[in-house]
Amino acid sequence: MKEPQRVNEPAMSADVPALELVGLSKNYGAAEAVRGIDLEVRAGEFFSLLGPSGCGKTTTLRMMAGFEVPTTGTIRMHGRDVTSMPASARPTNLVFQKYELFPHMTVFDNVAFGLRVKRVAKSDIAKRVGEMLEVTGVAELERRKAEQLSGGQQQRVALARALVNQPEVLLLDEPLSALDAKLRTRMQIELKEIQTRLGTTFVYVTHDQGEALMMSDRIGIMNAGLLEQVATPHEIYERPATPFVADFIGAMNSLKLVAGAIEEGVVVDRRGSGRVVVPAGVQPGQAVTAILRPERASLSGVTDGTHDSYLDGTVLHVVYGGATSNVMVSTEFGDITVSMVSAEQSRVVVAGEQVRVGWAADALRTVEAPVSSEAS
Amino acid sequence: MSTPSMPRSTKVMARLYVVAVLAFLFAPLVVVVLFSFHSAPRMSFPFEGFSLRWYDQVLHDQLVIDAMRRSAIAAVLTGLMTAVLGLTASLALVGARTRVRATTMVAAMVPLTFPTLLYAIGLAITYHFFGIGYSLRATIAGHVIVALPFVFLIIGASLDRFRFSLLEAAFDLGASPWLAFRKVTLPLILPAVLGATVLAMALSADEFVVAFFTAGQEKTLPLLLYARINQGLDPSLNAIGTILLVATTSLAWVSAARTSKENQ
Repeated sequence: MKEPQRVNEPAMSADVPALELVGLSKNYGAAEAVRGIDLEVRAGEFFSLLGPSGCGKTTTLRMMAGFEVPTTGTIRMHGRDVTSMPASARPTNLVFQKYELFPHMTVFDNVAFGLRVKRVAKSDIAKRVGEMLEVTGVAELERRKAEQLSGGQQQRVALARALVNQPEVLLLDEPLSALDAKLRTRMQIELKEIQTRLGTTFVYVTHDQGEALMMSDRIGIMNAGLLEQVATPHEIYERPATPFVADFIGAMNSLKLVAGAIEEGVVVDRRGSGRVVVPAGVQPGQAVTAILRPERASLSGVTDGTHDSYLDGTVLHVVYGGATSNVMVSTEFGDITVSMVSAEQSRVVVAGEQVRVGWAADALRTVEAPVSSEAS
Repeated sequence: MSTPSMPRSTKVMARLYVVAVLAFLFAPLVVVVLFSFHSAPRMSFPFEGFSLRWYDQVLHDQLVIDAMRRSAIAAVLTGLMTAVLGLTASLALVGARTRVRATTMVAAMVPLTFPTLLYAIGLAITYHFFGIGYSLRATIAGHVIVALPFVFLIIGASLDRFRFSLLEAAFDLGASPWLAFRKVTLPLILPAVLGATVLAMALSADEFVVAFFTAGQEKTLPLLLYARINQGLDPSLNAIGTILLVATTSLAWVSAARTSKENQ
């Protein structure tokens, strides 16, 4: 992906990653929280670490911040080894999940804390704090006590308190998880805008795939202490590298295919009345697991779609979800979920009905290893 | 305690009950304070008139002034020492294992339940054994030990409520551990520390038993009071008592105000 140059410090070479993890791991006794991570985050990038709880993403972030000492491995920031540097000396700042504003201080004093510690001149502090409160949209709260703020306001102050120090890398630990859904969406947009405007490198930890897809330049998906895939949101969604990524990033059907005869130049797997075009590159006779997104499949006679692959089956149940509805169909290849835009359905499907599920051949993708049989 | 549904008679009874309890609690104090202003050299009714003569007499009595000075020194030093010891001990326990914490808390509670009289005698014997002798300093050391559990428990309770993750925020913003303590931990637990200090001062100013066994010739105010009672009662004792009462209650009041401020 072509990355626009938005480095805020011109002296920095664009070739040196803002953040570099080399073989990073962390053990707690016998438990391995992080199991050898290699990662480069470019300067000015919005990078998300995405994964379920307990996958090691927060531990990784805390190692970047300097709150956890890696068991092995190296952390570099703009080429400088910071592995053994204490948190207070690192060129990072962290936006905590629970904000951790100092309750006895005003908003201004909270934001000024880091600058005062660094003995920045008083007039500069006033100017920089004022500007940053402006950027995060809480300038009018300057004199309030931190404990008098709402969740959303605290979030903005916490962001200002970190950003005012002009960190080389800003670390964010699920900063929006405590907000309600509507406010969260608004903050996602604002966060992304602020990041683009300031050109600061963001490393953003979240378990919310929607959030990560929407905000990030690149996403690293973590599972059980390992990075499963690092790619752009588009690539992650369209071409998940592992079954875990495919499953985590969204509802996914998996089909165990056996490449059969070649028909009209493509390898197919025929079973019963069904015909599935096997993804290119699979030789006849080989078994492969392929994934199919529910929204790429359609039902003949119910929604439109190009169907060079199709399976007949029985509707097990229909889940109405407002804008979309999901229909689960039992077929020769297992249960397949079809997601349809409700408004585009020509008729209502009911459980027990015989239907034909179809999809375009390019909707099917192979993944390295067998997908768990759950086709949710 | 009186809700609209209560019958009128119940309300009256409830009020009478409160008045009775308060009267029982405060009658002795009222008597002491009242007779400290009595113009006649008696501590019995009829009350013949108000006078400040006993205060005048007491405040010109060098023995009383010396005793007050000693009590004040003892209170201040006990307060300062227990604050420092209680704070450092509580902070040390924060990072400790659960078992160490639990054991220390129990150890801190024991002196509260142990009879002060036996403790004071033990202290006197110890001082004698090591040839330390009896003095105001010996008494202050005893007061520190008596007051420390209270201070330790109050500050410990405050630290239990303290969010230590705030310190990570301070470190992240570049603060050293000492700076983080000064700018974040201390301001947030300060009400409890001050409250505990003032409570320790009040305990010391009021303390009799330990002082009785360890002060020797350096009598504190409660000891002087006791000695004077043995020589016979007169309203000058009430004047001393009232001064002591005002000093300790104002300290206790400040203590309560500081501690409750933190809870707001």
